[in-house]
Amino acid sequence: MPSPGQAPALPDVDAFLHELARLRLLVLLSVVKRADFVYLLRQSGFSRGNLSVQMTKLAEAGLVDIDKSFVDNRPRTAYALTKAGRSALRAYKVSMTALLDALPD
Amino acid sequence: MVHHNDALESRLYRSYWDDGLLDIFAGAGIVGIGLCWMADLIAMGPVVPVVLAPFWGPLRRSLVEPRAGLVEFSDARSDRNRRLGRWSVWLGLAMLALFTALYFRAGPDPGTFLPLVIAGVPAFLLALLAAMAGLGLGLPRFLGYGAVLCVCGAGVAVAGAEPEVAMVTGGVLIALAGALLLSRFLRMDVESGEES
Repeated sequence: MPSPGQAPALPDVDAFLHELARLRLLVLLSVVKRADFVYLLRQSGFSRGNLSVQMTKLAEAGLVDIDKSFVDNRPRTAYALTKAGRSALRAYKVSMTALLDALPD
Repeated sequence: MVHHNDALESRLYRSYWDDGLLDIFAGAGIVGIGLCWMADLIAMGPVVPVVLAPFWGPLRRSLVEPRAGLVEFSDARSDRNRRLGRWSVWLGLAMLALFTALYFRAGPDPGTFLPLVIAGVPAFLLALLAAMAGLGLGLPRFLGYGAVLCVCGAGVAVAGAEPEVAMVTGGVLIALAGALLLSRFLRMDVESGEES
């Protein structure tokens, strides 16, 4: 335990992003401009329920933008990473890299 | 920030074309141009892609997108494709100019070899386009299509057949390969949509 005023020895990792399902979805969205629900469903291999819950959580956290529309009378929900989402992902990568680098070989 | 994971982006981009619809359109386009040539309507050749283009969107929306979903790739990817498209056109024109120069330089008695090679030129040019598309989209099967077109071009040259025969043959083979891919895609991917 660091003493008061002293920085912790281990880097702080964002626990919200560290959840594997959310992390996978954010990584997917980080390499494309935007993707819809069906695309993420297919690429992630998650169940509809899990995907829907995770995307809602990511949107509530401000990491993902949601755009709902109708195409040929079918609902389409498209998702895109927000600026905050990109920054959070970058910070997560830095802290996780630092944490893993601390591992002895 | 798309540069940090190019391998993943490339994999996703490749899989975007796995349904075979592009192959069918490419094959149908080549067959169409070849048939125009056979019917002595070579001037109608450039019209073929224009006739096919309006079918792309509706077919992709009705067959592919309900199963594979919709994705927009980065602006960097679009820029790269545009650059590659420009290079393909320039390279094709350069090859065409080279063959034309060779033909005219040979004079009134070009021998037997050159006219034979010239018969394969349209297929060789299309093979070049297919190879460029294969490199640009990261689809090795398009390099294979390029090889198929080269073989068709060489076959026509050796057999002394008309150039359009190579185009129709190659185009049919490419369209058939695309149809196989599409039928596999439609079988494997149960239509998902958001509501089901």
